[in-house]
Amino acid sequence: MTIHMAGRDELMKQLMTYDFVEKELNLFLDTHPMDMKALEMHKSVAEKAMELRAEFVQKYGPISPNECRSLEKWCWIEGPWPWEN
Amino acid sequence: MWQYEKKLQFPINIKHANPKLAQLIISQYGGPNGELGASLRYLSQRFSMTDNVCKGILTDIGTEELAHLEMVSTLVHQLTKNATTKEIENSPFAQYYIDHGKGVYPVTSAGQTFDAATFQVTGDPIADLVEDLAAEQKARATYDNILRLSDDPDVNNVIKYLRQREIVHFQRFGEAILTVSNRFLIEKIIVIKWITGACPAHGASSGFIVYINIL
Repeated sequence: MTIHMAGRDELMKQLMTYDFVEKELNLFLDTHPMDMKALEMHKSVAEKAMELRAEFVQKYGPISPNECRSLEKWCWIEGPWPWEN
Repeated sequence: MWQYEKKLQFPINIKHANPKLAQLIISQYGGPNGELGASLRYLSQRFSMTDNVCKGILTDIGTEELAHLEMVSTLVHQLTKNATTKEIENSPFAQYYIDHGKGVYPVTSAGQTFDAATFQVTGDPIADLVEDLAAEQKARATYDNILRLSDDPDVNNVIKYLRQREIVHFQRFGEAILTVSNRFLIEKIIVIKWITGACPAHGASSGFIVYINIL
């Protein structure tokens, strides 16, 4: 594995971790919409996830098609796809 | 992975209950040419695609089909929500109502439950993509049938939108097949005679004719 890919994998792992916590809090808040502690955690985790996502997209390319902003080439279809290791 | 967005792809605002029409439209939810089969077909076929164009188009069209699934469900919901017991009793929706009430469940118009046998994943990119072309035309034809039997303009506007999307998908799948077949040509895997012999040269739709001409 190249250093480039190792950095990519590490950053993706961090993003997946924060996204998972965000999802878990999302489900909890659906049934506990007034839980102040969970609301606070959700806010800070969502902000951190957004930061990590922006960093990943800037370094390694789009996670979602609406993040393709290049005017030279549509980079959305470039691999690797999530099911490819 | 997927994220939900709390909006429809196209606005739906049905004013008049019509359980009879709901019973027809529900086929595009759980029927043989419906949106559930379409999304499962495309999202499942992605894994054996060899080309990034095909992986991308199957992901994106498969995702859009999930949005269409929600639109068809919304139509069924809004057409039945305010239906009276009398209206339901005197409509073909009555049999469905016995098992599912005013819920939305994936069945054909004739009441058969959704069946994954309505689509295929062969593991062969050409075979799968050619099925996808046919699937888009079958869905388009089903929307045409619905339009012939529906006189509610609020419903028809939505059905016309969905019908148009089938045509766009057909066009994109045709282009995706070109990228795969061009690659085959470059790699000198000559299947030209076999494919042209097997395909109908006339009466096919535009994407397919381009494909045959290139070959």
